Amino acid sequence: MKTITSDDILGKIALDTSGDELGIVTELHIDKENKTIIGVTIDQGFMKPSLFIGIKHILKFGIDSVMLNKVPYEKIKGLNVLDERGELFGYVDEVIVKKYKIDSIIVSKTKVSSKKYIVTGKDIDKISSDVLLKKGFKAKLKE
Amino acid sequence: MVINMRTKKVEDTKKIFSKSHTLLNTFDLRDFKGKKVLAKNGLKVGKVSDFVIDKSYNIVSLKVRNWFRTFYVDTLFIDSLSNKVVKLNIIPVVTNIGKKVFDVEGRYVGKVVGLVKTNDKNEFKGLIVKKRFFFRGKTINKSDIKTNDKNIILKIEHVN
Repeated sequence: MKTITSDDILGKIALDTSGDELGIVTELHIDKENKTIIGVTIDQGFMKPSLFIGIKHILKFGIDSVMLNKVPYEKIKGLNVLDERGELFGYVDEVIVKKYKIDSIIVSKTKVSSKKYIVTGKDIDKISSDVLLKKGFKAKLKE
Repeated sequence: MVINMRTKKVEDTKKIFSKSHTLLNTFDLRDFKGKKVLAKNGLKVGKVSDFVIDKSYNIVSLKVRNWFRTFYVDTLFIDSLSNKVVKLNIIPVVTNIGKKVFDVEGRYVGKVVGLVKTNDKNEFKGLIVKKRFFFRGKTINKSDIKTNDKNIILKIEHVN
């Protein structure tokens, strides 16, 4: 049986499936009754909230990093939303997830704008460093 | 194509042409200088710094500059042009330079400092990876790459 200590996990970089660095593992969460690890907390850096990742979503406790088996939806918040021509449409304000899939995203035109648009998951072409929308996407004004 | 096209005819006194030309639906190249260049996936790869023309005055490529790195992109790879952005239909391989490389065990292998290329196409055979500045670079084959997105994750274990 291979065992590791908390020292081998804490302070390591957390990587998602795309290889993006999410932050540094700062805490281990242990179930008091069952004595098992239930997840880790990732410090995402200055002015960003800490992220809790359940043990189910951890692929591997690696040598220099902790590898996850999914991309957290929290990461999408704040990304630029670009239309098919690459022009800025807005910023991701909220992500709505249904059955572990992105159902829709709420986009605000500016970072302080109260005018918000709903874009369905079908209209999203790619999510990388920005959210790229498909050609002829439809955005509904949120009431 | 959405761009600031010329919508008014240019006065005849201001033109010197071999044939008559209204100059409608044409645009100035200068308007493109400094525009953002985006890859297929929306990643910003640089800004248009110049254009390259051949002896017969055809535009051959865009000169794209990203900080201290300059590269040339064939005009065939331009997907769309807009008032602010030039979008490509490829992800240029030069964007791999600077990415971090991790092996399957989550071990940090190093940073990509160069590419092994055999032709001018948007393809690479391998990556040259360095862990430290003074270290000698190691070559990693393209076939050993599992994920190539924000950073690179290998299929294999890489022991230093």
